[in-house]
Formats: sequence, structure tokens, C-alpha cells
Amino acid sequence: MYCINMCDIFHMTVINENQFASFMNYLIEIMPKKPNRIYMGSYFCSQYFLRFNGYLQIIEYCQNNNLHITLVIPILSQKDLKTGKKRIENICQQAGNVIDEITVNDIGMLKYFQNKNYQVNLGRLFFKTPRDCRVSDYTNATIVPELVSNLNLEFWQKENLNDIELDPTNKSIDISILKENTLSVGLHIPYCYMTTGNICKFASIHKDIEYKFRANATCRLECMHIYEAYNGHNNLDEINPTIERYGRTLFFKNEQINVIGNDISKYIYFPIKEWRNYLYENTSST
Amino acid sequence: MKILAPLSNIDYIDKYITAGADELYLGFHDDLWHQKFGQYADINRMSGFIKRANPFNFEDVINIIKYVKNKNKCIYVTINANAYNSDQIRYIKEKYFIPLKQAGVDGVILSDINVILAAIDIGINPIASTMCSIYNEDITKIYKELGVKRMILPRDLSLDEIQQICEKIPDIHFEAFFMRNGCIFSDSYCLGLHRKECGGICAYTRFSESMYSHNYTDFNDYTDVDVNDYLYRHVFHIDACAMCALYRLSKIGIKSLKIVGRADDWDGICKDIKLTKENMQIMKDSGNEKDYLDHMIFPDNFPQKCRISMSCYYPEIRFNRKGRE
Repeated sequence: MYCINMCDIFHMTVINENQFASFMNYLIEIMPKKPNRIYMGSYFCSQYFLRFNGYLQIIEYCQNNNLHITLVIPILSQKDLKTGKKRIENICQQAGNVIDEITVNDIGMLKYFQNKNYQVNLGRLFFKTPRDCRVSDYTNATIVPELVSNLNLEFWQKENLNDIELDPTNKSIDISILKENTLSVGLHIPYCYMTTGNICKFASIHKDIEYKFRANATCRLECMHIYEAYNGHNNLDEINPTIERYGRTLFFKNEQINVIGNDISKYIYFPIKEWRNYLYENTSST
Repeated sequence: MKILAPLSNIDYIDKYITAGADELYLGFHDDLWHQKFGQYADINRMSGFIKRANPFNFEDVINIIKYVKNKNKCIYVTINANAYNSDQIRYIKEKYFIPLKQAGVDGVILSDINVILAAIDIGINPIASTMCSIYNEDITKIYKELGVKRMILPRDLSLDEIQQICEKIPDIHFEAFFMRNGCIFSDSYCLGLHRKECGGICAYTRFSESMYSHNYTDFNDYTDVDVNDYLYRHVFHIDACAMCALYRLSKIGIKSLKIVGRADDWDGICKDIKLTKENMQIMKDSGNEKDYLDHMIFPDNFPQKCRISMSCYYPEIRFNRKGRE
């Protein structure tokens, strides 16, 4: 199953409704298989989650095209917890059955959804295997994710989980141990997140010096307009070494990922490049 | 309020205690661990820096615990790597927890829920590391329900947020970052390797060339991007300090102040402990926060260190003039 991950990039104010539909149609066309799910919300940023525009358009698009939605919820810092829960309620109410899955990224939100009628996924922030495209020996190795081996342990056994989400951390990931488990696996492609945090470089661009780089400060979603690419480390033979900053998060691209030992139930495609290109080509603000 | 200091030199135990440290924490290296689990399997967050941050082996740690306990001070051991598999958790439980408990360790700083449960099972006091990402009251509550009585709050929380968490979930021994080494990402979600051959990813983003792609067209936007980039790379959190927040942290109910820097210069740590202790006395003698702020002693490199708030863990104390927030 292929899914489109619009988290952390989609914001309706930078595009109009026709352009959105046309972008989604384009994306669906270029995917290797027809996607049947869209991931909406945020993995990394509560400021984005609280304020991104256009979830109604995504819901409507999915209703019209027979797609499901996974609502992705970032870690909500204390000051955003109450507002964030309200936002979740609003989105879920308006989406009806289109949202049938929730991806959570912290244990607080995992418990919050325990007795609600949604399938709950462990988001990519639970998967904490080290990853670093600067170290080729490590990146080119086969790893067994620690989380996967832990799912039989006490804490996770009590939870009623649907999917776990993995990042393409290494050249090869062995998940054969999951054969003993009923959980399915979603794999993020083609980007692996490497680091993130509550201090946002881009959010500070227009702030006075003394207010720069404050944790989880409100912003103007500057991340919709800018990204940064680093090229300062050793080139690797088989893995694209560029580290890119989108919003609060650094990613590297890993298209060579090979998952062994079990099936991947969902490929979660992050169309950041396509989205940026589309904006540059089709909006007046480029 | 207690001062918690990092220990990476046995000769400094007494010096730190004399300077005012109430509690010490340390990590260790273990060649057998790496033989069994590989060179990239960390025991704690600083394992990649090998013996610079973790000069002690496990046997040293046991001896240090006994020594510090004889001095009637508290000591904690850090086992807080990003992730552990089930074999590693079993190994930690059998090879580390049992001897640590026998030696009388006051607690173990842990990053993983299943390791925390293993510690509770053995009867060791688990401390939720900053790696546990305790960003809100819901997360705090879950750790409390698991049996965790002491938690280290992330360094990217504001004082207001810390206060709210402390008020909502009382009866927890909360620890806050206080001196040295700020972090521009989240400790718990920074998954790049921290190793000698590559350094942390934070340093990489400071020193590597990069290219921006944006759709700004205005001159002011261009210069804003440029200034922002310069400050982020060269000024922001090169060092970090929360001395001005001491009064507020105390009123909020923070029980321990964490001085970090297991790979730092020992005399520098000693100075920080001493300064913190002196300011704690000034705080006790102060009637209110303003009084404390007027009389507190600044670090040696004041005013450079305090320049435009870039070294502040909690800039909201001093830098709250109206501006473009």
C-alpha cells in the first residue's frame, strides 16, 4: 500500500483549491501504485499542527477520491497541549469516517487515544535507532531496529497498536523478528529524519534578536517558504549524503533502503521535492 | 534545591563536593558490551565519544559509588542511549543493575521505558532522563504511574511550561538543566551519531556550508535570513547558562539543578558549582526575584556570555522587552 505524507508541508494559504487538486492528481499519477491513504498533520511541530490551513480541503479530496486519512499528531509541548487536543477533536469531528487512523508520537497521546475508536499507530518518533548518513560504515550496514525487538516487552504489550512506523535509517533493515507479532509496518520513504527539536531556526528569521531561537515559539510558518541543504560531509558511495532542513527537522534521502524478513504494509511517501517544485512553478510567490 | 554535577575525573570528587555539589552523575564504558553488541551500540548518550566522556569502567563506577556514599552524597549512573533492544535490556538488568544496587547507587538515569520497568523490578530508583522527552503533563503522568519519582525535564521547555508541569503533577523530584552546553535540537530526538569521527549533528550544522532555497524577494527578508543564519551558527547556545533563572526555578519547585558537561574541563565545572552555590545563598537572602537579579553574581565571562540572550537556557527572565515576538 502506498500513502502520501502531506505532514509538515501542506498549507492551503500557499496554494489555491484548484492547484491543490491538480497537485494531488499529479502526485497520484507519479506514484508507483495508486495510493489509498493520506497522512495529514505533523510529526515534528506543534506550531504547524495548530495552525496549518486546509485540512477541510484534504478531507474533501479524500472523500471524493475514496482515500483514507491518517491524522498525525506531534508531541504537544505543555503550552500547546490543551489547544492541541481541541484541534484534534475539531479535525476528527469534521472528518467523520475518513480519518480512520491516528499516528501518535509520544506516550501521552498514545494513552489519550486508548479508548477512542481509532486504529493507533506508533509514529516515527518512537523509532529511535541511531541514523547518520555521515558515517558510511554504519549507514551501509544491516540493522535490527531496537523498537521492533522490544514490542514483545511489557510496556508495549499492554497497548493496542495497529502499525509501527520506521524510517529508512540504513541500507538494510531486518524486521524478521516481527513475524512473531501481529503488528504491521509502515516505512517512510525516501527521507530519513535525523534530528529535530522544539527550537526552530526558520521560525526565528523575522524575530528580533532577543526573541530568536526560543523553544516552541509561535511563528509565521516560515518553513512553508524556505529550506536549507547541507553538503559538508564525506560523500558516500551509495547513499545520497545531502542533509536537508525542512522546518525543525533535518533529513537525509535514502532511496536504497532494503527491508528484509517481513513485509511492509505501507510505504509512506514524503513528496517534499514535488511539493516545492510545484509551488515554484505554479504560484506567483516563487 | 540540590546541585547535580557531572563526574569524569576521580580526582575531582572531593573538589566538586567542597565546591557545593550535592549530587554527582557519571557514565561508564564497557568493552564487553561493545564486543557483544557492536561498536555502534551505545550504553549512554555519550558513549560515542568513548573515554573522553566515559573514562570509567564499570568496576571503577562501583568503587566511586561506595566512595561517594561514604561522603553522604548522592550518586547517579547514566544509562540513557537512544534505544536498546531486548537483549541489551536483559544485559543491563543482569550485569549492571544488580551490582549497582548492591553498591548503593541512589538512582539510574534511564531513557527507555522497558529499561525503567527492569530497574523497578530489581528495586533500583529509576530517573527519567531528558531522553524520555517529558514535554507535557500527560507524559509526566505516565512516568509517574510507572513508578518514576524523579524526572529530568527537556532543556527546550520554557519556564512557564516547567511551572505548569510541576503544578499539575506534584510530588515528583523535577530536575532542570542549569549550566553549560545548550542543545539546538531535542536531546531525545537527536538520532544522529555522537561520535569522535563525525561529531554531533549540531556542530555539523554550525560548521558545514549550506544553501538556502526560498521564495523571499524583499531585501529585508534576505538580510533577516542571513543574520538569523549567522547567529544560529556562531552565537546561539555555544555555551548555556540558567543562573538568572535560579530564583524562578526554586519558586517553581525544581529540586535539582543539572550542570552538564561530562566531556568538559573539570576546573570549569568546579567554578560553575561554586558560583551556583554562592548564588543559592544570595537567592535565600533575597526577598523577591528582582532582588536576586540585582545581587546575583554573574559568570566570569559576563557580559559576553549574556550577550543578546544567546546563551540563556531561559531567556524570558532577562530578555523580555517588547519586540517582534
